[in-house]
Amino acid sequence: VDILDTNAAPRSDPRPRADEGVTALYAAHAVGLIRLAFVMLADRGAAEDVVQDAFLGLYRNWDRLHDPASALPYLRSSVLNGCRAALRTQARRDRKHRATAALDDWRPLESAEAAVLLAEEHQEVLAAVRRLPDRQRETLMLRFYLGLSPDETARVMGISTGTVKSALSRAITALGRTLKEEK
Amino acid sequence: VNNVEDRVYAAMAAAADLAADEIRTAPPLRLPSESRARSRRQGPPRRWIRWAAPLTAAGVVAALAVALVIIKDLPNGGVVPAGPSTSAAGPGGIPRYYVTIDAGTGQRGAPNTLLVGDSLTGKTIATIPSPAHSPFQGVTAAADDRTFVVYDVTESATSAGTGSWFKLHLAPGTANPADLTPLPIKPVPTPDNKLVPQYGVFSMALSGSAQELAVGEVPSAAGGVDVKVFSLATGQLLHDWSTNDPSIAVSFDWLISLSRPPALSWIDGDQALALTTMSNEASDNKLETVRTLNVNAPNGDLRTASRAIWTTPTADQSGALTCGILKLSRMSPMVSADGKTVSCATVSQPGGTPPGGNKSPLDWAVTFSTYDLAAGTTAARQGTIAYQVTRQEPGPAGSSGGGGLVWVSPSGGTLIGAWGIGAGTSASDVPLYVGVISKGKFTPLRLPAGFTWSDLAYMAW
Repeated sequence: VDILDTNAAPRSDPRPRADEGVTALYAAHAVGLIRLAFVMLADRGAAEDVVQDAFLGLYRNWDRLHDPASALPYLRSSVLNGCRAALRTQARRDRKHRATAALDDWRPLESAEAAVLLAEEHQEVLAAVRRLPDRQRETLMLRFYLGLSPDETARVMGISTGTVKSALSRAITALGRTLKEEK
Repeated sequence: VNNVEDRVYAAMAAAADLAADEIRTAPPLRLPSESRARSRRQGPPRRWIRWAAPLTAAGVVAALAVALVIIKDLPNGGVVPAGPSTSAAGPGGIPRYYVTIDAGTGQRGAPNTLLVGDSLTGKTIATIPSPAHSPFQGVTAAADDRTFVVYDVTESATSAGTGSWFKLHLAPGTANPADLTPLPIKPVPTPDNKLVPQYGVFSMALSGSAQELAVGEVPSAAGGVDVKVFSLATGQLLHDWSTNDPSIAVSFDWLISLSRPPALSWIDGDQALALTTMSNEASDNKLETVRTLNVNAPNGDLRTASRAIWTTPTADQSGALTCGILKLSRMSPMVSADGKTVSCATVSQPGGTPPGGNKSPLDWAVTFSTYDLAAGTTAARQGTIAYQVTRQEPGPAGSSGGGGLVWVSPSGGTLIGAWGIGAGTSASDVPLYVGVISKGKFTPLRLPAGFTWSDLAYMAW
């Protein structure tokens, strides 16, 4: 049995309570995070759910978040993980329903609107990005979509800065190869 | 910046522009305290839901209020009298000794402490600090009231760790009342980010004979469920079943907490396991299922090796917090060792939320129910109420209710349960009652001073 917060320790610091802190963070960052999830999932409802889950996770773990500055990296990390899980669910559902094994497990902006609004050139790049391994794809998203520094990206992903750089390098190399082959 | 990077930047910028056009606002944040009032599209929040304080998150006011408490059924006034110290069993026939984990700070890698308690005397008979950077994260008990297995994770602030198992043997009354020794079971990797874990051990159960350890595990970030059985003597993997069936899943929440829900238990004379899982459907209609798994079944597919014996929705339309919300709360149903009953706790507001909201008195009920599995698969809400406590609490400062099961006797006739109802919107505001439930009565147990809901979360009897 697990009743409420199993790890809450008495605190004496004057930081906001969970509901106040999370509400403020939501006001500041929810839209941006939903956009990030939307780009990855191509499904606004799913994106909103992923972000909602991320904030709920933060709310539940508020007492364990000893450094308030780590809240946003945590949220980004949680959104990335939520997207990863959602993508796998999408892929399984698609495989089941469409009986095709050729679907990628990342489908950014494949809606009809997106197809119209996104130039073919960009769709080609995003299609190549979606075929990258998880770590490379997420490193690219954090660096190129969110514009995070290597250090910030490392913090969000829980890996070293060196690993971020190498993942990014491999991703660019792989993308270059893929895009060249598709020419 | 090379050409490829330019193209990626451009594509990302275009996607960002499109997302910015598409998404200009965020829907309202739904924090757990709004659970009853909000849309249930995604279901209630997971962990705090049993404390279903019907307040808006920002509206929680920590004001003192004169409690208008209507007590329809109170626990017995006194605690179970201490018997002679030579008694082999605990009060009411429960195991005499229990082990719990003092969570310490809960900070990643921070040490914590094993605490061995005597339920007959209420005293702590041993404490064992964890190694530095290797906090204890779970405990399970054999039927002999002397043997426990403890799960310990070595971790750092940033890197992945490994989980290991130890045997804890109790020898009360001796110079060395508790002895912790490593088990030869191969350590398992643990996630590198505890806040958003993707895989790892979600439950474990020591067999009644203390010969075998069953471990439930999400094997990788891709999901799935594995159930493994190890020999305690040799560490050898004896049995291994796995599945990626979405109808047999566990919640990531089970991996977040340092405590492990009792999703696994040994039944039928250690010849089978009871496994509680939930469906992974993307809807409110998730099902929680208790399955039996014959340990003599061939290794391989978990689904075909097991069969469902009890299924219940994870939440009902009234918002009552039933045992069927394992995903949300780890308020797991518990199967008796004879495999004939499943018991659980339900927290509900029988009268619903009154028009006055948090300013009106609220009815709370915590119900401990037992369901008979003799006839096979049994739907929820047909069980026998083993014990129920209802109270009415005023609302100005908010109120909360919570409850859960800690132990069930081999026949299912006796339970150890915990409940709390009171003013305030967190567990720390509400008195905690832990006691033996038998023949319709709740008899509080003697526990160490300062015993909290957190301690309860790690308890094994």
